[in-house]
Parts: sequence; structure tokens; C-alpha cells
Amino acid sequence: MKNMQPRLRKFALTAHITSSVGWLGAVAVSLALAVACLSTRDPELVRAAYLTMKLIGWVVLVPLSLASLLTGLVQSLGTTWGLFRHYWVLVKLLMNLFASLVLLMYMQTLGYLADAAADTTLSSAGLLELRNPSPVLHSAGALLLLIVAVTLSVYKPRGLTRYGRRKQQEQIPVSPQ
Amino acid sequence: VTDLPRDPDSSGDDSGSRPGSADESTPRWVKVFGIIGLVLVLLMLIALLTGHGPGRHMPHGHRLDGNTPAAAHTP
Repeated sequence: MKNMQPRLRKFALTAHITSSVGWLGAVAVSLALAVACLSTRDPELVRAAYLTMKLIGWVVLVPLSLASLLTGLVQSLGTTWGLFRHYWVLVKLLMNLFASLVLLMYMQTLGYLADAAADTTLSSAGLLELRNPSPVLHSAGALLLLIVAVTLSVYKPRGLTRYGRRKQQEQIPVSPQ
Repeated sequence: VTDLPRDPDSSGDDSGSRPGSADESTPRWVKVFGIIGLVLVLLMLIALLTGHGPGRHMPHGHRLDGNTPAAAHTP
């Protein structure tokens, strides 16, 4: 892929940072809701928390995770960083794919919990029975993963892949004899 | 992926390569990340294969079809 023009590159970079950091912020909100849901004795808070977590999941988390993945691909393929040349770029791609996949799968669980919580015939005891450590564990794991991803982006640790080394060798001009 | 580095001393140049980055060996941090990643993927596969996957985090008595036992309902 041809390298992007500087203005386009800046725009793509802005989109990537916005979606990635927005995703991180939304995960932090989900963690707060999950902790509140797990620790409360108020059945209505359990109901509200699950319904809100489901809403945030589909309206914010999933779109931002996919936007982060897409803009990351554009950003790497449209610059000389490449997608498979540097370990830190490759590791971030794998982390993003893993997090997006787990999120999409976990949305089913969250859907079941939210649907159960939305059941108005459910008693207070039934609502409190829905409290579950699973959303806390998943949100905390996602938050940790995204913080690591941001750290990799900032520090850009050294290391070229085998493909990256080969490409680097190809780009070294041969000096005239 | 963030912006391309401008300061060669801190993080390379616009070629996307770094001074001394042609080292043949895989960096230690990549090995550590690889081990952690493998453990996470294995845990996920084990969770899925043992029926701990999506929709299985429900408390006892709540079925996946959205129905709940009569005891949990108000009369």
C-alpha cells in the first residue's frame, strides 16, 4: 500500500487515537457499572446496570473496537511502519483482534443478563441473584489489555520481525563499486 | 499505531526502522507477550470447551431462553 500524504496520515492517526482511547474510556465505565452491580443490594440498580452495560456494549464498545481495528490497519498499512514489520505493531494487532473477538462473544452473555434483568415479573430476590462477577472480570481484563496497547503505542519497543528485517535489507541502497 | 517518529534518537526515523533494530534475535518483551498471549488463548479455549462460554455466566436457575424459575418471580 502506498504511503499516505501527511495530512491524510494525521487524520487517520486522529481517528485511530480517538477510537482506541474512547474504547478504553467506555470499558472503564463498564467496569464501574459492573462493580456497582456486583456490590449493591439494591435490585433496581442491578437491573439498571445490566441494561446500561448492554446498551454501552452495542452502541459504544463494539463500534469503537471495530473502528480502532480498522483505523489501526489503515494507519499501519498506509505508513512505512507496515503491519508485519515491527513486533509492537503486530502485537497490537493481535491484542485488538483478541479483544474484539472476546467482546463480540461476551455481548451474548451480557444480552442474556440484560434480558433477564429487564423481566419486570422478576422479584427483588431474583434480580439480586443475577449479580455476577463475570462482567467485572471481563471489563477489568479488557481495561488492562487496552492500557498495555496504549503503552506499546507510546513506547514503541524495539524489534523487527523476520519480514521487517528482510524489507529493511531490501531498502538499503547498494553502494557503487 | 501512533504517528511516525521524528527523533531518530528516541524512536527511529520516518523509515519505520530503528538504530540497532536489525538484531536477529527476538526481543525478550516479545517472548513474554507471546507466552501471556498463548496462556490467554488457551484459557479462552478451555472456557469455551468446558461450557463456560457465552451465555453460560447465568446464575443457577436462569435459563438461556430468558425464562426464569417460578420461585424467582413475584406471585
